[in-house]
Amino acid sequence: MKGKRMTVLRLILFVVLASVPLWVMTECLNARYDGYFWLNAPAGVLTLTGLVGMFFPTFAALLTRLLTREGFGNTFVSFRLKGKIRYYLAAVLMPVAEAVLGALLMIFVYLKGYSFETLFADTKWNVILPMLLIGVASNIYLFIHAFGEEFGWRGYMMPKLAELMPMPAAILVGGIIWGLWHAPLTIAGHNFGIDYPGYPWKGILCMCLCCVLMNAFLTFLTVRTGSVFPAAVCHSVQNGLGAQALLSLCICEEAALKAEQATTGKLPWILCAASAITVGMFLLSHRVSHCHIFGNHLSGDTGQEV
Amino acid sequence: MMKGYLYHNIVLSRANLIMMAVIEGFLVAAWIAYVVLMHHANEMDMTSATFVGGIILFGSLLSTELVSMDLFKNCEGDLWCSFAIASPASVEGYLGAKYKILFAIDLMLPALWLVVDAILGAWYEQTLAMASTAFLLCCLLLLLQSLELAVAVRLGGSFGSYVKAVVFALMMLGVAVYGLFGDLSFFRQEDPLSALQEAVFSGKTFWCLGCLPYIALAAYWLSYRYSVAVYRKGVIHYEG
Repeated sequence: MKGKRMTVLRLILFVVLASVPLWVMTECLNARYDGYFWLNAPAGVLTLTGLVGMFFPTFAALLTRLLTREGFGNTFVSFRLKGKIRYYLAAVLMPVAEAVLGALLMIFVYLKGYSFETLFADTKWNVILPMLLIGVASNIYLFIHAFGEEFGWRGYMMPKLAELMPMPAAILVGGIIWGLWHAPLTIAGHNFGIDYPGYPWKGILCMCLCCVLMNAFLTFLTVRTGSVFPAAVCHSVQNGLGAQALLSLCICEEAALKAEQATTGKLPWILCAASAITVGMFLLSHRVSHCHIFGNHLSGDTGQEV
Repeated sequence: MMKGYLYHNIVLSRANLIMMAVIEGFLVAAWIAYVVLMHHANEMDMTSATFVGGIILFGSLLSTELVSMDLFKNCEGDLWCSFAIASPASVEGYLGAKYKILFAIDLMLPALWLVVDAILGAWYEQTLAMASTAFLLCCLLLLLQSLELAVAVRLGGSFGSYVKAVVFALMMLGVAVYGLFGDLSFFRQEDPLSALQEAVFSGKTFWCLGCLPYIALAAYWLSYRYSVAVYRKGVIHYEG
């Protein structure tokens, strides 16, 4: 009981330490940029905000470990490829598949009146395909910002939740915590803008749903590899390659504008549907009910090293 | 065992790691100072900024080389090699630690410039994105190191350095030959930077750039597997 009580305390401390700086930072930025800073601030400020904000979970995890004298064992910071390469490949291919599926769904739902020839009439595949290759590769190499989040969420929070409840519940709760952590950004216009009915609560709800779905796959990657690096790579590629960005690169300008307006005015449930393939893959490839997935790593048995 | 090997390599190379950090810090400070001064003087010209940024990135790339050969030369001794082969982690763990450290250092290059770009981009609207060029240079560095490390493991650290120097010299020679006989019409245009970008980011060159990161990763992994396979044969060539 004492062990579980300490785990709950550490979890609460971690969530508070991760959330408070983000709320403070977004409030300061909202005050500086006349509210809704995500829509009003220059691109450079948004990039810097993203870089700094994504490291708050790491700082929170490190501080929690220091303050509660937990030590730094089982941080899930290891780089093992032996027998794990397929998970690293899945970490890259899954978000690409998700973006492509999301783009196709957006075409079928919002751009029904356009023929294939009209949509791709101006598409220069010789330019776009190499650009996408470089885009995906740069997000693989520059995964450091996503590592800032994954060290906290998958490397610290998820093992703690797995100690307290069955894994499906832990994934659900962890996803909701992660989604709520994004709340100040969602309120500022991140991802969904502000021009949708039910702002900001529907946006926060949608974010929680997306995070639950992503959390399933990212946790799967972390557990299977004993490392947060595949999850960081997956998260980085997912952040850099959205369905809307992919669509705007590939289709004609008029259709891209129409798709952008459609997803600004309404909540992008399409993207949630695309994200659902990740949890579907997880359920098909792994029996959730028989998960003792963090168990070996929590006990310190890290298995054969490369 | 792996953590032990990582610690061992970092401790042995700590002087070079510190020197590399100092040089990188100096280069970052120089770039920030250049951008700030140019903006204050209202003379921010993207063409000259590209030239200066290119020199700074080249220096940043070279500073990582301080560590690469040291990692292998430090451990070229018969007794140590025998210990590495006999240890529980064996050759795979021993060489894996070295490859991982170098990989982390190579990835540090674009990550560092990403942070610098983000900081400068928050203050100034017009600034050069160094991270994208640093990323491509990192890929090139991985490719060169794949060859260099495999040769160093098989034939010794000195030989590996010679091979790298020869490859580098050949690349510079290629650039010089292109400079003498190639198409340099973009330099004579009003906006040479845009013309150069147009030439690079089109056709086969763009496809090569697109495939380069993946080829570099694959080459680095293949170099590691080759090194593990030939390590025992290579020990007799070491100078220790």
